[in-house]
Amino acid sequence: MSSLAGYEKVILPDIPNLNQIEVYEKHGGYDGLKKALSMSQDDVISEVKKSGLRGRGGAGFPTGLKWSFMPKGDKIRYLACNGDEGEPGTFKDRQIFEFNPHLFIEGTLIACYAMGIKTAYVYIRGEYLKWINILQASLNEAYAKGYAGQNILGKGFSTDIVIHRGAGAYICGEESSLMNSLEGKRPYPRIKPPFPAQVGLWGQPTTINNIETLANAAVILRKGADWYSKIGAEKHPGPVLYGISGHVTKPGVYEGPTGMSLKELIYEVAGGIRNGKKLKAVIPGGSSTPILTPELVEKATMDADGLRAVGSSMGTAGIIVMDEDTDLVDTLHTLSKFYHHESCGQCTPCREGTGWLEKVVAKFAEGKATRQDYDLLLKICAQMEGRTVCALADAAAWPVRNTITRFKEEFEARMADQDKKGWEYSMKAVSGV
Amino acid sequence: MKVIIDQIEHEVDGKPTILEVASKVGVEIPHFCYHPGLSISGNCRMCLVEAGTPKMGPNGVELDADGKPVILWMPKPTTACSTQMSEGMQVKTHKTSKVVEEAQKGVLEFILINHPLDCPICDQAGECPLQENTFQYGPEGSRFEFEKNSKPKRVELGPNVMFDAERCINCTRCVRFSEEVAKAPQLTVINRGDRNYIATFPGMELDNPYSMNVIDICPVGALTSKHFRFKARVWEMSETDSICTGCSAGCNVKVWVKNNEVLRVTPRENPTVNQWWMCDQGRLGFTELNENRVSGPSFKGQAITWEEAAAKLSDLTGSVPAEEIAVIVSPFATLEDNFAVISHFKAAGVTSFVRFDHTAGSDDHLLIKADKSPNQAALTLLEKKAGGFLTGKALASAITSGKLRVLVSVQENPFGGELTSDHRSALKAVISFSTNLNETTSSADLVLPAATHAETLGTFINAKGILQKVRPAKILKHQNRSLMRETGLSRWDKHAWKYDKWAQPTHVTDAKPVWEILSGEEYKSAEQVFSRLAKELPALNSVSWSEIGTGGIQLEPASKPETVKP
Repeated sequence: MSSLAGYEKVILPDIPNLNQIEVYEKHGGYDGLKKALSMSQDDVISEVKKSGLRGRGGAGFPTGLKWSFMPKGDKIRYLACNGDEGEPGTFKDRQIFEFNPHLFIEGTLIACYAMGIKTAYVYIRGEYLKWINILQASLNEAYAKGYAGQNILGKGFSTDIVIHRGAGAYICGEESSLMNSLEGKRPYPRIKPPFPAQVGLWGQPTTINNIETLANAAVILRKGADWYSKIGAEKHPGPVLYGISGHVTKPGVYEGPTGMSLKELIYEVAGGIRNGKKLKAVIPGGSSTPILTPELVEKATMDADGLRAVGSSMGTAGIIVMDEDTDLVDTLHTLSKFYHHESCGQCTPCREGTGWLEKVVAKFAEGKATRQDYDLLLKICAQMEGRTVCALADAAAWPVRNTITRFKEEFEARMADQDKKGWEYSMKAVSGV
Repeated sequence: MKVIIDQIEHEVDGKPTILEVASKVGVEIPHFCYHPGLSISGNCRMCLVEAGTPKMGPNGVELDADGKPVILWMPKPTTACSTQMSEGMQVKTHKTSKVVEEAQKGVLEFILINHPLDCPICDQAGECPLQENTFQYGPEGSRFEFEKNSKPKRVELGPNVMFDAERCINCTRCVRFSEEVAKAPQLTVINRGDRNYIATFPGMELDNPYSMNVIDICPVGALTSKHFRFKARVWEMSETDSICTGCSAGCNVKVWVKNNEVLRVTPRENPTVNQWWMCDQGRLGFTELNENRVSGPSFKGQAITWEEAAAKLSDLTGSVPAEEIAVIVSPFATLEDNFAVISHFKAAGVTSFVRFDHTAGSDDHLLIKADKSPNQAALTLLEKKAGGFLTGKALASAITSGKLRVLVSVQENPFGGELTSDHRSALKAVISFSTNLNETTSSADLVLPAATHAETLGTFINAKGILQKVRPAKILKHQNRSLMRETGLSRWDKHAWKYDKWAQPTHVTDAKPVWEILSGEEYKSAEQVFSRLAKELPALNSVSWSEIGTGGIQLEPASKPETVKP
């Protein structure tokens, strides 16, 4: 288990005005890019592979492997940097934009060099106007200093970085939706295969990386893969930005190594539960990751394996902490409402299932639900999970499934017919339409 | 390559998808959003199947203890419409997989929770994939107990199409059709989640020339025809396989008839002619089959019998020397009619045969042809027999100069454009074989009612040289058994409903196919006319009547166009 003790911050170091390029350069800025440009493209990819970096956007796919999927040759190709940051409980990318934008720009340039990409799009959610302006200013500096644009650092390599402002849809954070949105189309997720590395933006090979992932890439090139891979959990190494929100004394974004214990993060880093209350539940990686009970929180470490062991996942490391006064039925209702609102409506199970889930959860919130409704929720989840083009249906179903099973008593307490029938009620059609 | 669907091995070529292979080998996989003529969108999730590929070891395919290949099944069910088959792939459909069966039930339950279930008043009922799939694959009921979503109803998307958003299941077939086939991107999906529905882009209407195809491909009753809405239940109508005569494309259609009235025309799949589509103009041209018809022969405005009409015909054509008679043949009539007309008048010594040109505009990217007449190619085949054709202009000047004094018009309307009242007064007599009342029938001495293409049997040759049949969808007053045999029957026709087409006199026209009017006892059926003409015309020597079927025959292009001087 890793700990903050002795950890040196690299993504968001405590250096004032690091968003100014002179300050950034003084602290080793763009050294990673210089190093990358002196290496072959394949060597850069193997360096990232060797570091063990896994995507910070939620799925945790090995980044170096993803980069190596890009076909060789002189086809036009694109990098899409995913800064949509739509997952409730997630607010880490904007810290990078605000406090260390050049690290992200450097990582993006390194990725472009490694994959032979001449255009990178930074897709940022529309609400982040402040951070879009900051990033644009930093980007202008990078262009002025010759780090981006034509003939970067005189090495004959050219890349343009373009900022694209999203219009406010959760689904646009899904990589193929993001591509459709960038193309100006309705952001319906695309069917895979073909994968973006074959057919992506405008039909060209494309890689989509999270903002934090790209910032990590810059760190890897600056400090070396060996150094990087020793940070945090062995199979899921590196620094990570923990976004801690909810009923803690000091909510915020904290940088630490992966594999930290959830308890340390809540009680030491974030100052413990607000007003001396007791802990009730924690969502460890953004709203779609399965919720944890206090018993599971005791055991959980913040890395892929550690969270899999407690039946959850790392997601975006957006930790939502809930104290004993939290009404989990209402919490679930809010989440279900969110997923109902944000389903794009392309696939039947998600389009119809998210609305149905919300309506049944609302029955619990109103105290009108029955045991049948409890079973029905599980059945609806089963009919949605894994039946759609993208993972939004899963993201909508998992919170429901896990909250009602892990906090069954809370839902039982809100039922209208607590003393009837028992749990063995078997699902049958209750109305003949 | 070899693939296995439901434990049965099939040999397939190329890189087909699971759904393509399944439909080819006769395994039904239910679907809504997939359409063979459109891109794959994979959104309805109805065609989910389980699929797996053989595990590859160092020595090729790994085998299990029984010597069978080890299959790596995909962790989740996959869409059959979008998954390409590969060597040795195995697929489990609802027939062999509980998971697939459950998935299909789940999808249908989901689709139906916000579907209004107004089948009793829905035009699509009876030919609705949602009804059919729910009947076959759906759950027995619903567990949804909330109010259904409200969405716009009776939205006029364009001049011909009405939209009901509540019925819409968001398959996006119409959106993809407009963009990909009609090349007129006018439709899109708006809103999110279960609030989304189809709409036209701001300031646009669904008014492209192919807009009504979206009605056919809509798998529910969300898109309906403004012209057909609430006119009939599907099972009350008979459907007859025929072709469209709106232009020289010769699109394959079904003609839908209730109470001996054509209510709608829909496209019929033919990969070599029109794929799955037809234009709105051709589809809406059916009103002339019902309305404004010439019924019963007449002489100078007075109704006469068919026997009297035959006598008048020989009187009028015998009143002048045969060289002074002009006969206008018709690219709107069947090959058989034109053959009978030319044979009949040629035998009487007539030498002046006329054909009009009907080109307007230019061909478009899909189906619409500049030549608006459906059978010019047939007239070209008959050109030699007729001894060449005069143009409309030549006819007009020959009438003015007094060279031609009797005019026989077969299914054309010369006084509607080519000729004027001056020409009429220069003519001694005008005889019109006509399906509909027009300027020519009102100024003709003798009017002989002709059967329309929806009442007759015969052949047309389209612009690509494909010989196709029209079939009688309606019956005529004088029933000809050779025609009746080919007529489509509705359920109600078969079970003697009281308004069935055989019984109702009000919608029955007293008309005959032109070949029947002219030939007397010579021909008993269109088939006889065809076998005669097939012997006479070299291009058709090898074609037999039964071979034409419902798909048509591509005629060999003539090696050397025969040119004949008139």
